[in-house]
Amino acid sequence: MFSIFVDFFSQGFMVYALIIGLALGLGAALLSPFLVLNNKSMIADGLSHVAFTGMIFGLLVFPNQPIYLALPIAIVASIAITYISKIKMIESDAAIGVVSAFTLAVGLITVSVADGGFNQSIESLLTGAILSTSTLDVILAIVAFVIVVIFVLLFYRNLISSSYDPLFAKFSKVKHNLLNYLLSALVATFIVVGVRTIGMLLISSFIIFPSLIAAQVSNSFKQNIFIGFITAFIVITTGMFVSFELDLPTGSTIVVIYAIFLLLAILYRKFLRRS
Amino acid sequence: MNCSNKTLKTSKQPLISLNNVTVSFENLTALKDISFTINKNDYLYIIGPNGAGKSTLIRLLTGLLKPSEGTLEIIANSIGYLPQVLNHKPNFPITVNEVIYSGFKKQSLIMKKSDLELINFWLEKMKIPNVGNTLMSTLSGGQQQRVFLIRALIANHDVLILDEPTSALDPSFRKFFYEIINEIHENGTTIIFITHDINESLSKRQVLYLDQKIEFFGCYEDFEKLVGGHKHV
Repeated sequence: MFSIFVDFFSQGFMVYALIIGLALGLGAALLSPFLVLNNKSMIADGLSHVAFTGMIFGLLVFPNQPIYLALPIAIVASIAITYISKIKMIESDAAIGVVSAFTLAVGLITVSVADGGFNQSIESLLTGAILSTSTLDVILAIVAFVIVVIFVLLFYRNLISSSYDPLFAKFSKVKHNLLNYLLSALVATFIVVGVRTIGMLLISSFIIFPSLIAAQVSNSFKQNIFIGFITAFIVITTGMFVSFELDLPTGSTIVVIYAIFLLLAILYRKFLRRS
Repeated sequence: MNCSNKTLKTSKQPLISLNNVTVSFENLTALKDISFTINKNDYLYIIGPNGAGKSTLIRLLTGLLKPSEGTLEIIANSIGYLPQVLNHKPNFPITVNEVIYSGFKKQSLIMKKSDLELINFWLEKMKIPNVGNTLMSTLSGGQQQRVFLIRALIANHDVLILDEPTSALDPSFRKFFYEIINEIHENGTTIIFITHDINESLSKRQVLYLDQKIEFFGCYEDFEKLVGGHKHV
């Protein structure tokens, strides 16, 4: 057993992978309740499609650092989705569906017509390549995590008030709309930073699962954040070791473990907690 | 305006002032040429039929809406508000303490001991002690209404606006509720009370009868003479 840890930590790329996985996973867990408990989970899914196309464009313009273009594209898209939802021109879930489908289509068309191909496989953008992370990826993930921690600590009360009772929040001069835009932009940042390592198809699960699992067993918002955070830590660390030991795709392994935790939490709520 | 000895001496210190205010939504005029002033220590009931513009007036007074024409001056430092239609998410996992704390003027990440003591004081006063750490979703409608009332008044605002606050309260608690509002008023808070419930609590109070424009603004006793004692206006 001990040799597994020795093997794991002797591989520099695995240590990188663990750091980036934890930074992304724990940051996503902090954002999770503000989206999941507000019925905004699909924003993360929609933005992952946008991030995919952003990375495609980024690879064309900045082949070595596609994030330079992908990040502003995703942030602009997140603001657009939030604005369309706010003015109720289209229902928010439909707005997310339209924006994500359109951007994904544009991305796929770009891939098919681009001359010279890309220096990164499209499959790796879809399913992630956590083991091939660069130092920049690690730094970006840590910076994104720190920004999320500061954001949540600074605006915790306003976020709760705005989530629970938007009318009262507006009356109390809470910048409800500004908070929504900031939250969406942060989610977009997380998705873009994570899409290359976790993959477009899996990154949104990092945001959705923690609060969903915590909601089954928690008794307050604070507990939801805390349990989601601890769950993310356990799941990501376990996922890393299991994928390393069994030679499985890391992002997929983490998502499967998240799903197992969710199933256990639902069973706990249904049978043990009720009794 | 002093309707009786029940009303404290109004200081003629204006807190909210509306001058020829009109509010229109596209082709619909919700309020037309409204002018009145609310002074410190006033206790004003706003009554009127459905669609009279009461909710629009409240949105104006709470700063959630701007007049299409005319001027609205809010001089009061702070206003507390208990909305009629609660816009909250019923299953959101938030505790009673957290809800009430959102009504504090100054909030910190971790609640201070003195803040928790104040919350507990009000919970006991509202006859729902020991529910501070309970999820809001587990309380009855009437209990939730009491929590929202505490949230509205706990910060000691200059003005307290109550929009149909008794609608979710059981009759036994309603009388007690009026007593608490009277007590807050006696302690210097200006009360604006929107209601359909024409009852004895209105007597010797100021009444503003609204039907898109101000139909009556004066003491309830004069209003009663005008409508001939009808309870449903």
